[in-house]
Amino acid sequence: MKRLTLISALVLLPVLAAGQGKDWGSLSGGLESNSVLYRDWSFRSNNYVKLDYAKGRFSAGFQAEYYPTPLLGYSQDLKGFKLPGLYFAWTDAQWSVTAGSFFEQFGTGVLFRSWEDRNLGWNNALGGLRATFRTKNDLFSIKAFAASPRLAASWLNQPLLMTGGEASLNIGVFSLQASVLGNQTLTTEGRGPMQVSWSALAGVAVGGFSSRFEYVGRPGGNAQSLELHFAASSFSSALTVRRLKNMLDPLGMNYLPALCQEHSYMLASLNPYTTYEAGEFGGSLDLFYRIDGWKFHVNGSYIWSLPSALRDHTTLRMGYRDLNVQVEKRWNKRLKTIAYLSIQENSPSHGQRKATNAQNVFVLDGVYRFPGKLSLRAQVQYLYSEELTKDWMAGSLELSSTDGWAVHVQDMYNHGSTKEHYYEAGGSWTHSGFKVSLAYGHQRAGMVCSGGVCRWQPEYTGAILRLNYHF
Amino acid sequence: MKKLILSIVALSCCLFAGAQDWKEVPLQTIDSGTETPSSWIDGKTPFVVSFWFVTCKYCLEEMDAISEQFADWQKEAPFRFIAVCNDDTRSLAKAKAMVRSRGWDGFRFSFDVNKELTRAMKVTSCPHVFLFDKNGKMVYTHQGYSPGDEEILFEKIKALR
Repeated sequence: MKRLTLISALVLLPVLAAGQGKDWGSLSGGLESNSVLYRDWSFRSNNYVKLDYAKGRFSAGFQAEYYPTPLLGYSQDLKGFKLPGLYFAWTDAQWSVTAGSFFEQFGTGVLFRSWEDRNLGWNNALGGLRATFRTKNDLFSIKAFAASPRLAASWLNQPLLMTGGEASLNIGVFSLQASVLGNQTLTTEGRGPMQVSWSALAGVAVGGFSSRFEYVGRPGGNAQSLELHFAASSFSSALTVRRLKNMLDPLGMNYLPALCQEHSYMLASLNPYTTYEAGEFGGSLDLFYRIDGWKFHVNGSYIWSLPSALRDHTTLRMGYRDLNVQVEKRWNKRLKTIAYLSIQENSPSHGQRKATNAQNVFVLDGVYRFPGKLSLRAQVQYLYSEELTKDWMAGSLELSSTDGWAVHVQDMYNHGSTKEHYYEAGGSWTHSGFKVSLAYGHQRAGMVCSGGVCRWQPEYTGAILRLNYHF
Repeated sequence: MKKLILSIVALSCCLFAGAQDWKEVPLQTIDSGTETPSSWIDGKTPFVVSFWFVTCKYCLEEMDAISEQFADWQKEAPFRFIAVCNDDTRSLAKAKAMVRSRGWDGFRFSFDVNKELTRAMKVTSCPHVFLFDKNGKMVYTHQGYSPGDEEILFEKIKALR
């Protein structure tokens, strides 16, 4: 009931407020609600309300979260009402000071990252003080904070001190960044002594070429990453190489995404790779090419586990490899098609044991625009494998209109072993800042990934209602 | 506590007409420099801010569709198109390579690597476009993409002349 009142307040009141003349500052807000009614009639829901107020250089806001019972696959400790994101900030073109809750990232995030991802149920916001400064010409900038990580503090029921600073210098084509982080450690008794980690990043960008290198050092661990990227008018490429050893942060305050490609097709993402924090070395290469309405994308990754992270300490062992080819063609103003091939092999034990799982995925995908408002999207997919659950097939249809509504049906069928169907049918409607969607489906248990980080999603059947509104 | 929040929300909504807040959020440019959203307001032409990420198929569809007509539309009603990539840093090199090869000529690219602008503008799904007039006032927003949505967007741009 309270949630209903809250929703109606958010939806109706801005309309009533139209026509205010005086400068009271500006208010913006957003609401996201994801609920599932499961087949056993249990109801679970994750809800977020974010409000920000700004007047001149001053701003303030909060995020409120309400979980009557969190959705399956999310931490059940989230249950209840929370007000995690309260902050006050003062910002001008050069300075900013924030008190309260904030997010921050140093370098590529391997040293330190605080962020929110609602798909993962992840929010490791910091609570404390932060100040930033940058020169008018953007030549030099610096930031520093002293805060307590929200997640760790909730385990401990007391704050845990974390401080950090980062300085950046941009001179012409060169950029340099140095970061230092100090934090209290966690021991079985609670708060332990301070530890210091650091990182340095150097980059260069000339014409179509750019590159950056980062080194990260923390007690007992280190990481190096190199990115190269080159672009001409119709051809471009990107290469990322990374080595990391003992980079798992017990506080969860760093970002160690899988290097390999994230797939948008359902069968291609059945068995995603996740980073082996104990030690891995690998690279990922992308090639893009465009000619006469054709677009080509080739991506390949190879990731090994480091000998030091293996029980027998002998040699590098394959953890994951894949090769993905995508060909896109616009035939005319109405029809576009995509053909996609993904060849994957992963070692579920990160190279500790010999057994690997291989799968080849084939996808045909098309979008056709009818005269008028309607468009139809269709996909067929096939997964060929001799391991795990063997062969799969999948298909989907979606009809959408420029009036804002869309309906879809999809099915994923494991005909190689379990003979189980994973289906979904539903519709959505969007208008301006408002979006609502309702679907009924049977979801497979598996990893749900976002930004190279994954969470486990148990199997379920139910009706899913999603609401989104912002103003 | 819940009642308090509710009253704050209700009261504040009465007092303020909805508006986007133009914070000085630092964003990365394609040549690894920094910029803030306030630099997009030039007092001359309207601009579209479109949020996208590398594996968002509908985002690429929408940007391709706009790009194909971008040069012709400029003659009718000039506007700028700012594509804000909200991928994490691990996809940064890939995103930069991609924007150059897809032929999105005339677009401006910005990278929101820790999703600060994404959060400030309450973007929860992509693609998500916002249309701002020449003074930075938001006049239209749309989530998702169905082929033809770009024509509705352009009608809104023409209405601003």
